Amino acid sequence: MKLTTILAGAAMAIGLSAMPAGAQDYPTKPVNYIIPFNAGGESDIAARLQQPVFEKLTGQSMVVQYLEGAGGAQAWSQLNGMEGDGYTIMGTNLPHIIMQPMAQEVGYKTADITNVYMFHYTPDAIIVPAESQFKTLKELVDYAKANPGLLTFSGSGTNSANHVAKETFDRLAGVTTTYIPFSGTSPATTAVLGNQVQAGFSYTTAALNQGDAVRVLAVSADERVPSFPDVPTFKELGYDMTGGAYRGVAVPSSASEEVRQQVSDVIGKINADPEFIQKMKDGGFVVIDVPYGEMEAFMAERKAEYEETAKQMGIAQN
Amino acid sequence: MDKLAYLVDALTPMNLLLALVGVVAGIVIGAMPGLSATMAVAVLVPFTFTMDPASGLIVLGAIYTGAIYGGSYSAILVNTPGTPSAIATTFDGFPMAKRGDGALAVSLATLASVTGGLVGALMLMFLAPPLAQVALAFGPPEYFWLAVFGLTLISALSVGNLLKGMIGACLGLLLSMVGIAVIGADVRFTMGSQVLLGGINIVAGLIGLYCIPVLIDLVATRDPHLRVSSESGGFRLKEAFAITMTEKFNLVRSSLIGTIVGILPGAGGSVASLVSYSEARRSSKHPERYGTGEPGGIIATEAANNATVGGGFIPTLVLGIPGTPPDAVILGALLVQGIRIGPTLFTTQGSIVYTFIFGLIIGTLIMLPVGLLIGRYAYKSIVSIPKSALVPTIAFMTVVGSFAIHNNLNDVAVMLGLGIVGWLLNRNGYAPSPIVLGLVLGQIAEQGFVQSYLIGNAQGNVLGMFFGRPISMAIVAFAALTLFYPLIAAAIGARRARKSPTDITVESRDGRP
Amino acid sequence: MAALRKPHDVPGTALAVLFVALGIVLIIGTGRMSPLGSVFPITVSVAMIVFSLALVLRNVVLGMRAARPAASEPDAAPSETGHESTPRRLLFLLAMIAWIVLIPILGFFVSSLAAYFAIMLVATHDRTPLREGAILVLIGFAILTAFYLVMAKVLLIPMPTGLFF
Repeated sequence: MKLTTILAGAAMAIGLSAMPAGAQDYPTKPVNYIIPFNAGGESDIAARLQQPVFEKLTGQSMVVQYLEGAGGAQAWSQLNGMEGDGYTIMGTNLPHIIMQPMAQEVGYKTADITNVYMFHYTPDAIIVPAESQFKTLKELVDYAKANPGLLTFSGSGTNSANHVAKETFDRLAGVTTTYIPFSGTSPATTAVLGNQVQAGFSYTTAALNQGDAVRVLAVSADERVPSFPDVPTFKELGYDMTGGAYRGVAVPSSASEEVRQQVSDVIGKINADPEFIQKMKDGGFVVIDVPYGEMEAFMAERKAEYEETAKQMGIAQN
Repeated sequence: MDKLAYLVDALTPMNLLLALVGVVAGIVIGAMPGLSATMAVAVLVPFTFTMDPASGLIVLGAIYTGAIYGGSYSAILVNTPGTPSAIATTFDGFPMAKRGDGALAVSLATLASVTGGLVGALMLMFLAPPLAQVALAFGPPEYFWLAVFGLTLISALSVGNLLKGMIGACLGLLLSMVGIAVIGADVRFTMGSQVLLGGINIVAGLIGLYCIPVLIDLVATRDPHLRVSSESGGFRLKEAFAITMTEKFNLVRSSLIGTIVGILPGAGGSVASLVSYSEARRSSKHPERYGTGEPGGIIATEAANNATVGGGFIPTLVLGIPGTPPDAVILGALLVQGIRIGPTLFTTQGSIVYTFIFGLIIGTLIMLPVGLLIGRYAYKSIVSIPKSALVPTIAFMTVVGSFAIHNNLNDVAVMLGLGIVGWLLNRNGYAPSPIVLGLVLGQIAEQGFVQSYLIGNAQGNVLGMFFGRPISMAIVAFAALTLFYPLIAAAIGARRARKSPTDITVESRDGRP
Repeated sequence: MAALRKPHDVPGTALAVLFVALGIVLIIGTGRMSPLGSVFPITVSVAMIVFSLALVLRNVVLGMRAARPAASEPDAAPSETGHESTPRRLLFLLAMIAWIVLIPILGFFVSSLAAYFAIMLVATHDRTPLREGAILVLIGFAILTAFYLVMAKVLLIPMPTGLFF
């Protein structure tokens, strides 16, 4: 009877997938890569760039899925309930996973997230419309000093990377500006292009898409970003600001040390692919390598830094 | 014309086949509540990596168009919008199907969708750069007023009980605020539960509020789900065509509204179809028939939501700002293909862009025969399946659909919970549509409002922010007109009626400003 | 106007009172929120309270006015036909709730199968011939299997598993 064959087939498929993967042969089946944001954002685009390289390197497909909601908290609070076999991995973002639990009860703690690799960051950038009166960062700072609170910055979300960057900038430059949160990078950029706000805190990646329509005043990378050779870094201009939104990959906490290392290795291999690096560079991303072994130190360093800003923003509760 | 050269590129047999497959896949996925256009496109993006860029884009565009159109089937046949864009299709589509005009409704939806899709695609081809400026002209106050405009439709939807409609809308607005706020990052109304942290998903709400009550009432009676029209079994295409011709103004207006609203990132198909439905009803000779199975209502919403496909690509391709979520996925696919979007795309990568637009047009045209065929089949199977199989199948769809949104059972629970509440409320005169409207428009309204306030406050001119901008004022004027038009029309009508009852229709039409 | 014919509308009015209470609870709930996050909920809650109070007031006034002329009260529920079956409705809802509860325990496919046929029983009003019944069961099984395979194997959606799958 057909029924039994179907059942047997299905049972076999399930049985196969439940078998523990051997040490060498990860992955042996498609990997679900959960992005905690909606399609089209930086997290999605970076994942989409990883996807073909992953398939080229491992011969298995990588299935990008979106579990958006609550600025990513929706997905992160569910991470540890998923299967820790290495076939479900999730994108993580800094400062989100540090700032969100710090500000309020969001269903997870920073320590709950088992990051196995941080693979890039998108430097913060201040963008203004091409026809803006601000030609340099100095003009913008002078204006902000003369008119406290009048200067409006758009950005993506509250307590987000953009928000942190804006607060840090305010502190370093000694100015008061107004932050207008939008529901994502796209609407925040649109508001800048449409002159709804005077400037925007954004990422190099978003600025790149707009071409000549926007002017980038400064980027918060250690050195100038290849896609914007003429744009100074904040450091050059005397503001000690580097960083932006860091993105990595995490696994459920039930994953064994072995699985964690395997996932970390695969992401590391993708990060070493020359074509991938080139595409990331073209897109305004800065590729970094923080494998599983170095994660603890990296996170501790970031945490200390964000706590400082969080205090200033008045959001640190615990 | 030089653009026609790209038509030849788009017309290769391979591309035609891809467009056909894409449209069919899109229609099927779109027809399932919960399986959205975004998901359809996202799942298929990896497959396009192996194709050449133009072919890949044609498939994605075809799936997208098909999915938006496919949403109308479930809206008409089981009162559940397959995608949020088809919310307003349920208003008249389901009543039509119930009285035995399901085939006609599907044919009307097909004709309107194809027209709307073509208008949107042609605007994309010829007017994209100037129209992209519309996206920039809309700031937070405009979004706020646009959402308010959408909410004025409540007055039309709750004829006879405006107060209950308003209460329902407030409830919907409050539901939209559940979860972590975008602005302020407050955790709101989650009742301490992490399940609700991400908010109430619109699609889960749609499925619950529209579909569960239908099912509850379906099991309670012996009556068949839909009445079968005995006299004609075909597409009723001729009749549909005739009706479409008499509604041609409505058709064109709705297509244009769809394109324009589609350009606005953050508005999208649901807002476009609600606004055009509202406008169609206002300018109709028989506004009172809207909501009871008026063909004009289907034409308005379906023309508008398919026009958003072309419209949404305008900011996506010109500004690099996705107009709708599926556009965002396609944008990602473009980036992976190494295509740099932005202001220079139309000049530097013209061949890909125009091949893609022609592909979109071809996909839309293919939708006509394919849609009619699938629609007829869907209608027939819904009508002929015995109720004892139909009810569990639809129930299964609601579970699968709400699960598939986030691969999460929480959304299923939310769906069922809202469904039960919605059923209880509906039995006591609180209709589901105002609640859905509130849920869909709440975030747009709130964010627009708070952002406007923040910007206005920084500039020391809050009132000017809300009432001092020309586009805002135009939207406010339309909203006021929609809100009070029934009163005005009724007043005029009543006065004329005393003189001569036969003049009413003519006069109320002339009385239109 | 439907509302004029049955001016009491007891359940509708009761719900309106409930909405007033809900609005008050929500406003109290905004106390811990930032000003930005609370302005909109408060405004909408107040609006809901006002509309609900207006509805209550209207229904009370209409009720008093209609009390004098012999009130021919129609059924509270808008029932079109006599043979509606409330037990079936409740059984259906019970099946749906059980379905969702059972998915994590039994797995998606098995619990769906059980719920599908349970609902099929609830929705069956007439005695069905054995042959027809068998066909229905087959159709149901085919639909569920096809869907499950498409979702799990083609779309690669991680389906919840429990004791079974």
